[in-house]
Amino acid sequence: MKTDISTNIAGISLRNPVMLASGTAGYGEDISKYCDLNRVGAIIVKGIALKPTNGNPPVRICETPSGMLNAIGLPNIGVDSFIKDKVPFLRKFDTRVIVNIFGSTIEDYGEVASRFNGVEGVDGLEVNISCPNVKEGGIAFGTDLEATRLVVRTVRGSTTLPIIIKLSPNVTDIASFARVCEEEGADALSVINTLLGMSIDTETWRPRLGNITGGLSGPAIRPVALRMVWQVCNAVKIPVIGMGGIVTSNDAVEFFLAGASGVAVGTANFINPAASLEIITGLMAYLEARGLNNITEIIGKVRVAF
Amino acid sequence: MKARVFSNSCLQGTYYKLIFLPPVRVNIIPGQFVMIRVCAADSLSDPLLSRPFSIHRQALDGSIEIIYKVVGKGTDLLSHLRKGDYIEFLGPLGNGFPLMSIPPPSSPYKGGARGGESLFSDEVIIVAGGIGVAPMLSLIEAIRASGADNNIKVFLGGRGKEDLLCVDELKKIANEVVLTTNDGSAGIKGYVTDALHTCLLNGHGQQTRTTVYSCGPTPMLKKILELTEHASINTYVSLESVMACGIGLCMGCVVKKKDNSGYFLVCRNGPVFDGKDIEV
Repeated sequence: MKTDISTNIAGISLRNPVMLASGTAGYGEDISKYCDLNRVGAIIVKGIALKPTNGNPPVRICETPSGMLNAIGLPNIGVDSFIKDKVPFLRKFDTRVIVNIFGSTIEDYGEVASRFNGVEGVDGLEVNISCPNVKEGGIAFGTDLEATRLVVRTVRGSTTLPIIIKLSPNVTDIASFARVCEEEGADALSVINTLLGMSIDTETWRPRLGNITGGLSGPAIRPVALRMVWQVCNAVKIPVIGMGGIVTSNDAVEFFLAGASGVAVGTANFINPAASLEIITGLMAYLEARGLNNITEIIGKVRVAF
Repeated sequence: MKARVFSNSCLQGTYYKLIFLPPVRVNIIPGQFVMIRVCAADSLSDPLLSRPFSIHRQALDGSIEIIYKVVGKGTDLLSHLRKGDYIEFLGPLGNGFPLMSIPPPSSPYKGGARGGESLFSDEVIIVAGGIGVAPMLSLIEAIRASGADNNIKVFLGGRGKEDLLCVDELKKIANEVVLTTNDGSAGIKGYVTDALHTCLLNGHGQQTRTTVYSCGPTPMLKKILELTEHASINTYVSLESVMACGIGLCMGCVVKKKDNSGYFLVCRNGPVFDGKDIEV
């Protein structure tokens, strides 16, 4: 029997559960030269807002032990240009396209979400309420339960597409945020966005990022991400897409065992733009080696002794 | 892509030259770069990211040479590689230097164009600081190979004598090489930009069509652009930037557009820029 890793998350059927994480694959063009987009489960494109934005001044990134800090600041071409200039390119590929959206007000979120109604080639929306680097689109919504509730309610009321809420790890109790999203009709959750961090140059005594603080990603955050995925999966019934420092297929397996229905590969794309393809191959091999026929046989199967 | 190390040797002080052979032959334009990561098992996640390196030269057999300075963990690991070891590399990446040479007598002069169209100039001035010399030798070779007979003048600066690389090779191929060091241990004492300033004050670039190509630390490039803008000389700068991917994904390597309309990505839109387009 052939091993089946196809899945369905938030009503979106995926050929496999491995996605490209938002902000690490642009709008698909650059990465498509190195990674066959026809083979990934989905591409979650870089955040889109109503109006174009330039992002933060440099320095925008710095490397830290087994990770990196970024304060890119959500540069985006605006929803109109995206639909007109980028969606046609993405439609050429036999993959799922999930559009990450953000706004500076709750109304913005609703407006940008509504623009995708009826846009062919867009399969779902990922709602960014957790970017640590900008006031807009960001953490202000994702770290306040009531603001989170209002954003999800507004987006839910503005779109017929599946909505996936990307949660911030920069909160004390991520499960309570997950529950609020579920109550307001979210179809799935992305867990986690980057962790707020900082690095200082000991020669110049200056912060190494222009924005002073930034979001930490990469293998350094994997245990934190995994813990949060596990907590969220125990708190809600809607599916969870796990992300945070996944580099190898074994890393991905950890997230499935913790309960994730899908995974997204982020920082690893920077090191190897074909990393997601290697993870897909590795995942198949992992299941086959254990005589497992379906990815569901490992989802949430972590053996926790009570 | 995995590539096999041909050789890796210390040039002088903390400067090294790495030669590696990509599995498939790639065509290189001077000024382009590669991303390199040491693929030892224990360095799987620390250091995590690849490092960008300007391509120094390409040999006839297709092997690629880079020269680098050991400044941190990544370059230290790199310096320990030996013949037969493997590196992970991506490249060549980015846009190289537009080649400017004297037009053959038959062809009409085409000036002021960008992107693909060739521009011509009578005099080439190259300004390099420290490791910024890396792409310059192959740039001069390409200019010479185009059959042009430009006057090529090189300004090479460093903190001290040990920071001046490729001096003999440059002397062989350029018409003139001016050396400067901050500590006076070789050449003229002072900044390389001071020597360029003196040269421009003496009328270089005034009568002739001159092009300046430069690569080095940001303060040096900033000063060069001030000087050449004042003298209305076409100037191309190769920028160095922190970058995670080198291929336009991370959007980390930005440089401000001169017209204040946002940012260029150094990896995708550069690393070589027309000085008129950017604010360094």
